[in-house]
Amino acid sequence: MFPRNLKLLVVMGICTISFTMMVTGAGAVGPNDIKWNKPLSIAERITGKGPVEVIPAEYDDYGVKLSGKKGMLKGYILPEGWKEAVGDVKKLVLTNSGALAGDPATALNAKIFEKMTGIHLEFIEMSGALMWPKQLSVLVARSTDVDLFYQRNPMLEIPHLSAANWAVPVDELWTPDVEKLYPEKVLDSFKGIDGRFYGGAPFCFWAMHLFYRPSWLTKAGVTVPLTWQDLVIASSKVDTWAENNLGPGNDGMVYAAGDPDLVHVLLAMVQYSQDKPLIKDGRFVIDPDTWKIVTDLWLKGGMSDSSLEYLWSMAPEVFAKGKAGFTITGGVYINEFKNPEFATGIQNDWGVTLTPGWEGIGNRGIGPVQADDWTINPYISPAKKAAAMLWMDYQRSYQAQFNELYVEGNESAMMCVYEHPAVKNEVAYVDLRRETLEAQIGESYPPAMWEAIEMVKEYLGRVVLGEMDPDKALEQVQAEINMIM
Amino acid sequence: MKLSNNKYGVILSIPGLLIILALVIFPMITLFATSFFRYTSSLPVRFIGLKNYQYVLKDRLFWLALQNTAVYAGGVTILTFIGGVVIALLLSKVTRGSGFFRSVAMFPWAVPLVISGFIWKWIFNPNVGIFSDFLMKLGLISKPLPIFSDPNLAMIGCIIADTWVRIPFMCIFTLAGLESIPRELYEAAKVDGANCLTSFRHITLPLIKRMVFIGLLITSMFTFRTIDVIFSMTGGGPARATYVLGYYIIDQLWLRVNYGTASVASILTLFLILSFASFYVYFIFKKE
Repeated sequence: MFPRNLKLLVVMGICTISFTMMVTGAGAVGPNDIKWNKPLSIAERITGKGPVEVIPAEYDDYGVKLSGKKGMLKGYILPEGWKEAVGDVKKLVLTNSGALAGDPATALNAKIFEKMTGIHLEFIEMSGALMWPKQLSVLVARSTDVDLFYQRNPMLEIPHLSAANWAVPVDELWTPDVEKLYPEKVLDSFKGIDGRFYGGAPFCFWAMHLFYRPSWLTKAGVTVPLTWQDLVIASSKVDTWAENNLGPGNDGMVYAAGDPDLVHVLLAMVQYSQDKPLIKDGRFVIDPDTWKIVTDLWLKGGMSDSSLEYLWSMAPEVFAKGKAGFTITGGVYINEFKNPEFATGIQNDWGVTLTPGWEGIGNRGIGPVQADDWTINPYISPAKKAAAMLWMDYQRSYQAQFNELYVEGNESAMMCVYEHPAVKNEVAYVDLRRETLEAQIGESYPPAMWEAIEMVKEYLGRVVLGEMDPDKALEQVQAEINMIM
Repeated sequence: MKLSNNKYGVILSIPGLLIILALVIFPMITLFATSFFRYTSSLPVRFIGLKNYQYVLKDRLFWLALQNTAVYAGGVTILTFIGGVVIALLLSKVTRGSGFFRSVAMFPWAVPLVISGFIWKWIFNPNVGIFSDFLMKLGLISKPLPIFSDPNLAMIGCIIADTWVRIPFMCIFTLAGLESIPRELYEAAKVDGANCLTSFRHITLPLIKRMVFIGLLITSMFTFRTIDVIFSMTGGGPARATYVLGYYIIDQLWLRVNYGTASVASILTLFLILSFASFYVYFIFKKE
């Protein structure tokens, strides 16, 4: 009936189309099949609230026992079409910074998600330091073994990931209404170099606070410093008092400057307090006034030289053992410092306040966004991408954020959670936490930012060790930064 | 069909050779190839000839890392040699409960280097560590040792943490050498009027030399490329005082996400280790 050539052409055409669809994933179900704005708009869906109830034993999983404690087990509303979009996906593999035993809220939220969707989350618990290199290995190999990657420093990691197409853009999750639910200035930190969103679940903010020992301050004759300039003087006086009265090994201030990221945080806190961004015309620019204050903390203030090598947990632990007058660290340590088993040396003698502002300007509590997030492996199947986006959608929801704050003590990325009566009544320092979070700033960094921060850490060390004059060091480090940006 | 011994040996070696081909030769070829490409996260991959080599060889951090690596590897090797040989000699003299003492001496070997770094970081901590506290209580120092804010002390701290784990390895090598020395030699020397020192110099040392040299070669090669202890203890600081070649490679990979320059740094490290090992083997063993 049909000429043989035509038959051949039709068969070849069908084969070509099938092959193309198979390779590109076209025609398969995926994130595009989820009706994110149904049955309600995304903002309405993700702000759904449930009661605060006692967690039953069936929610204990991942080696975390939360039964008997309270949490929010309902509230989030799944979007329409999610079932069709995720198809037969029954498991997602995702990395996590550290053991889940230290992240009870994540464990609870994962269990809630599993109960809602039937999708089990398999966490690869790994050391924070190894997450980035392992992630790079997986992505370079185009492996599909991991579906979601935990990002500890989205502002530093996402520029690389977006430049290399190593993450899936998730703009669908960020409508203008949704953006309003989160602190206005933080969202840039989840964007890539192309301005698109790659992070979808800002779920663990850890804004910085100034912690101090009231008794030491009183004895040293100083008050809680409100500006960076005050902190230099106050920490120096406390240092002198501690050394004279408590002996060597007691310092005015400790800080985790051994972690390059926290050098960046310190620099950003000081620079932002002057209403100056870190990135100017696409380049990292260190303001001379910022550099002066940061180096003065060591040279004129009471910052211990050992802080040059203290990592994230080490500085607060030294403070907790009663060996320092001040420290600046994350809000998550509010709970830790209340724990007499951890904070053996400061029980009933510690206070917390906003980080200092700038003399004559203010801006206390301001700092760079410190949030954890996940990004999606671009090489996984469309159905898995849909499931991964669904997890992101849940994890940034009111319900999940409530659990982060209420159950674990992490900051909630969603501001309205702080208005919940249970949070207001039961979570310590709620106003301080909210105020700090609102003051966080996210900038879109260039990919070379990480390298630049390492350079700053090196030159800061040289100044503190007396190897270099601060002005000369600034000139040199800025010159090196300019070469790579 | 009867196979010759040679053919039989070749057939038996094939699985092992395939594994070496897949896990050593292929990655090395890839490494060499990558070193000639611009391979970063933000730009398309492109052949750029020797530009990566030029970049690395002009980079001040590479030379700083090389210098620190030499100090670090030298320090660890020397201390490991001294510690390993001394402990082995002591253990060889223990007769009662020797199994227990030997097991105890081997414990540090079971500790991963990265954990050793963490352990010693706390021990050396000037604020809450026991090391400075102990020395202060003994009256040997008046204030805590600034181990994290003195470049020299930071390097020494890392060397100690690394050496602590490696001593048992050297100890085993030396012990193996010591055990192989016939007792009769010592008895004969004693009859000839040799004292302990003379016996050690003329019998023990020459006969354990070969084992010790092998131990030293392996220790120095491992130390040259290791970063575990430094990673957990100082992160290369303060002010890059403990920044070694392994760290430089990692920075190229993780911070710069530049696989081209990381490959070059790896090739140069490999070249340096091979050169050192070749000279070492040639001069030490050829003379024998």
